[in-house]
Amino acid sequence: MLEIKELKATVADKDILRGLNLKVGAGEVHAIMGPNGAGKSTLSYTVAGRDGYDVVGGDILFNGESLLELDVDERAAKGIFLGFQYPVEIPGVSNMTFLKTAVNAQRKARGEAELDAMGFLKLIRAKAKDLNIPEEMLKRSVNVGFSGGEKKRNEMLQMALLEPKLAILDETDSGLDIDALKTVAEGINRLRSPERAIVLITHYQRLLDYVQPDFVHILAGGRIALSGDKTLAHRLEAEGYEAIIAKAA
Amino acid sequence: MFAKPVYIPDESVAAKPSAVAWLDARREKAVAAFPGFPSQNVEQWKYTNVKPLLAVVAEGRPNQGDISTAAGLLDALPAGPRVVFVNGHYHTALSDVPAISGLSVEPLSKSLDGLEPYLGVLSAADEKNGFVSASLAQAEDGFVIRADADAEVSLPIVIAHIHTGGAQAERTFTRSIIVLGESAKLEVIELAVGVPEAQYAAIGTTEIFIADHAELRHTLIQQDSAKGAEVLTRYLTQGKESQYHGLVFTTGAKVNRVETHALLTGEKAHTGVHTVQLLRDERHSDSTTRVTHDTTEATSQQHCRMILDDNARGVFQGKTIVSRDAQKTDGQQLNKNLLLSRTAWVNTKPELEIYADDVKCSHGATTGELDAHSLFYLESRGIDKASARRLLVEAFAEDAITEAGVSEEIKDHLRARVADWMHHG
Repeated sequence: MLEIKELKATVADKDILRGLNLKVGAGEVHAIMGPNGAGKSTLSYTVAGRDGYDVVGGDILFNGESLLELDVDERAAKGIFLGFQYPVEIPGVSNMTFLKTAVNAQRKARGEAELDAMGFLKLIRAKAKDLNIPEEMLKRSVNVGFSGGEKKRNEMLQMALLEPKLAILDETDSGLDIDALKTVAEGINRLRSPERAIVLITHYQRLLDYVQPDFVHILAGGRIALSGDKTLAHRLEAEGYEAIIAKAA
Repeated sequence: MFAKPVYIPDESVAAKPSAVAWLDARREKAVAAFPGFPSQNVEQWKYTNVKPLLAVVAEGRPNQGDISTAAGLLDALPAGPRVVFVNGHYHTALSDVPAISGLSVEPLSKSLDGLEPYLGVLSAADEKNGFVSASLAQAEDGFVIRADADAEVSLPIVIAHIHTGGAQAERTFTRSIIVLGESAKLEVIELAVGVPEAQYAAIGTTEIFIADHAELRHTLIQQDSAKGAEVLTRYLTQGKESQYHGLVFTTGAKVNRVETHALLTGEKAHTGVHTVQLLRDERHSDSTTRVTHDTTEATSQQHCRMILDDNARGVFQGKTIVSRDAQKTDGQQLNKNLLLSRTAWVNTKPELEIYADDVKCSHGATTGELDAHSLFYLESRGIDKASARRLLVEAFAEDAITEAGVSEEIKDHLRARVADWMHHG
């Protein structure tokens, strides 16, 4: 589904990704772990197409098609979802308006009929209930005044509504207490399906106790330094990044 | 060293005979006081050049030109009594004022009786403002709204000013009055519309008297033509525990200035002067507000939000004056601006003049572009760039519309106008 080939990317003319290779197939859950500054967030932003993250070599293929010429919203409409480490607060835009605009923009881009107000309300009530999101949170401005846990649950709600083919979740576990972490993990597990791929970018192995990955990759120096199954995450926890990366080199 | 202010003389400003002695006397006095129109070296007019307005000399002809589009805009406003002026003159056919108990709504040309305590009274201290003295000297018409004590009017009163200009540019003057008796409650919606491409200079002054415990909601919506010029000056005085909730919503003009002077004389009075400017192309708008606290425990807000695109220029000049005995005053000034282009221009000048020692006064100004993080967040959910920008601009305006304290119906109307403005960008 996602194939990243020899990807080189710069931010403000600084080399961050230096020939990264990664293949993610449908139905798979991949965890990408790595020390601070390894390029984890750059990888997620580059796949999403954010301004300022310049691809200077290699390619990103999604279902065989290069994403490089597509705008951010076009990539989203193809089915790529980025879960933010720090969800953005947008005063003055109600969460409900935001979610409805997003869902209908994607439906329109895919040539599907847009949902009317009632249809959307039914859909969102069901999804919000699964994630323990009260109606009041939908009426407030996007992420404004939300706690850390509420923001991440709101990300999960967006993912549940948009039903992406590929979800890249950037440090979704950061700043969560154990209850919030469980809710978020349940949200992710609920979306696991044979048609969908999930990439978890994380610093710690904690989230992986609740969402079991099929593959674990260690990102260091702008490349995948080591790949393995879920036992790699346990080794990391025991030995630390430095030791493992040194062994791999 | 300050340069001596320079005024631009205007021979056409003269006292119109009214056949009413007290008014004729006030008109003569206004002409005598008229210093000319302000040039940009008059401090308060530093950021607004009125010369294009002064190029317009012919007097507005009543009921000229095609008013169908402008009249159609009236239908979009909430139902209620309507008073319509075309080129500064009362238009009988378009107006509709049913009898409402405790309320009188009339054109000035028909209701000079009983106006001696009001007309020209609040503006008298400001007769060095050429626009104010010229409008007193020359206005033949305007609206006069009087609400008796305890009157509670459920329907908003809609006042429309339509400017047709025409091939020949025209100048119009209006003087208007709003008087609220004790505990009266009223909503007034003013709509100023210029026929597209019309050239005109609309000069108006409104004096507003709000008695103890009375409450006025006052929205002014300006939809001037790009070639139009409009200078409006409003004075208001407020009694004890009275409330004024004012909102000015403007898309600017060649020259546009709305000046509001509020004088709080009754304790615990509240005044809110809120402005939303949506400007593009070469349009200009100037929001000048001044609130004088002359009593204890009164509160005020002077909030201005500008959204500027292309080469537009927005001005905010806010001033809070707290007199020596006005303890426990709470006065806020806030100016927030959103620049959608690199060539748009903002001038902002917040001022405080405080003579009391136990007060809470604040002022602040911020100017920025659309937030790149927010745009990326929206786009990453599949919303295209143009729609994402639109959502953020509407959100910026939404805050101002919400905080102004006007009715829900008007809020919805203004939201639609913001969306409309964005779509025509």
